[in-house]
Amino acid sequence: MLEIRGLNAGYGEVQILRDVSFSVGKGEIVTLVGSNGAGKSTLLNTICGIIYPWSGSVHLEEADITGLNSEAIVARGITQVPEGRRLFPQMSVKENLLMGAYRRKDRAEIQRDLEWVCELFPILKERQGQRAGSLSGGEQQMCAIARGLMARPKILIVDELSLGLAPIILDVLVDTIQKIHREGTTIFVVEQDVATAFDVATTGYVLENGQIVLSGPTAELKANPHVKKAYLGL
Amino acid sequence: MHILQARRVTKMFGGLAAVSLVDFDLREGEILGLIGPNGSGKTTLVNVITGVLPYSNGDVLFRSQSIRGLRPHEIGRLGLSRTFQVVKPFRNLSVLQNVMVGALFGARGGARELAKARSQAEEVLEFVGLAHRAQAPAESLNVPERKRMELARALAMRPTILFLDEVMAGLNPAEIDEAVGLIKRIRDRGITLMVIEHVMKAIRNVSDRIMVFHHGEKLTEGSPEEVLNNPQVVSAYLGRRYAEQAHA
Repeated sequence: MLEIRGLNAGYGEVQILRDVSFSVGKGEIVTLVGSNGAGKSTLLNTICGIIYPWSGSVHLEEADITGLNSEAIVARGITQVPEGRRLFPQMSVKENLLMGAYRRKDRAEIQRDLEWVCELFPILKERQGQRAGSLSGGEQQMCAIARGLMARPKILIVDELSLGLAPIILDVLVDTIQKIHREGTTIFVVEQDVATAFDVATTGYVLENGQIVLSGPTAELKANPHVKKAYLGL
Repeated sequence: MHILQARRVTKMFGGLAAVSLVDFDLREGEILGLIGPNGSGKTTLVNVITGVLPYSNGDVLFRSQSIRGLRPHEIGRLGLSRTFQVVKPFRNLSVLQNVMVGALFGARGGARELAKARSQAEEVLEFVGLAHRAQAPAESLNVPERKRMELARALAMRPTILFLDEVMAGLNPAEIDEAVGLIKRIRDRGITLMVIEHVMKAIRNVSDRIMVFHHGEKLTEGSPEEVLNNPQVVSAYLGRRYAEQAHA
């Protein structure tokens, strides 16, 4: 589905990403973890067309999408749930959800998807007329994920699922992300909270200083001594 | 000795009680952790205490004097300082200048001279470990650095009580240990702290006592061990994955 090959990227003279390669297969749920400053945001910015890579490529379903602008990349089927949710705070929950579908013309299907995301997150149905800015942090994250799904993406990228969320709210989000995956959406989670990331995903990559240093099934990565010490605090 | 006493503090948003009849005492020199699900009213409580939002009911006493109805800057000058969850620095000012703003508007009338505000700000930046970024534009900082600058700005006000709203979100385990050490050093300077945090490792290690919020009400309070093993707290806040890890 998504294939990153030999990506080098940075800002000005400063190189951030060094020969990054990985892939997310159709129907998979994959995570990429790393500390602050490891290069996670630069990687997402490169995939989503916000910065242009120095070399290397991004392929979506075999098609080379390297260097396309963000709008074109969304049109190809990549949707990002941004760090910090970035809802439209003055708009209602329902208006935010419909913004996710703004490229679509199939009104009947949009209505069906609206019902689907409200089934996934029942609180959004209750709050659909409320200003998005008045939602709690957990509800905002649910709204942001639902808005992303309203684009019917081929791959949904979630940046920092866990940030600022209570453990019990995160339990609900982990379960729901897995449910969305089981219902057929390919998911890529970029996360700093490694314990959560490895609970959500089946395959993981570890990014350090702009390089992928470890990869494999998350069950194995959890047991890796370096991961345990540096990321799980065990 | 209780430095702050909250009595039946209530905040309504329309028909919704975001904070309802909350009583608690803050003991001088302690670190009180405040946890609860998102939307349970933690930040609203701090907003009411610090004058950002008006009360619907109740009162808060600081050194036995009511502070209800005071404006945020008046409360700041009394010695109650805070950080904001969503950090909004003056983006075009340097880190040092941002922290100087805190020093200039701080407790006891603040530093009246720029030179004094500058030296206070430099001292605080050294203390929080951000001195090497003093001249950088605030907008160039990453998220953890911004949170640290926010903490420095609040500290530069030379507070008696400091409210910290999620300053550890997004930190890795080593950075959390560092932040816990920093908060304890702030307490060692004689500052009383109330700390809102979802990072359990941090809240367990930093708090003398923990208070738990649920649906705008105080669910319980006690020592970290009591609170984090309380089945009500597990079902309302800590959740399944936490319980599994705790028993693993």
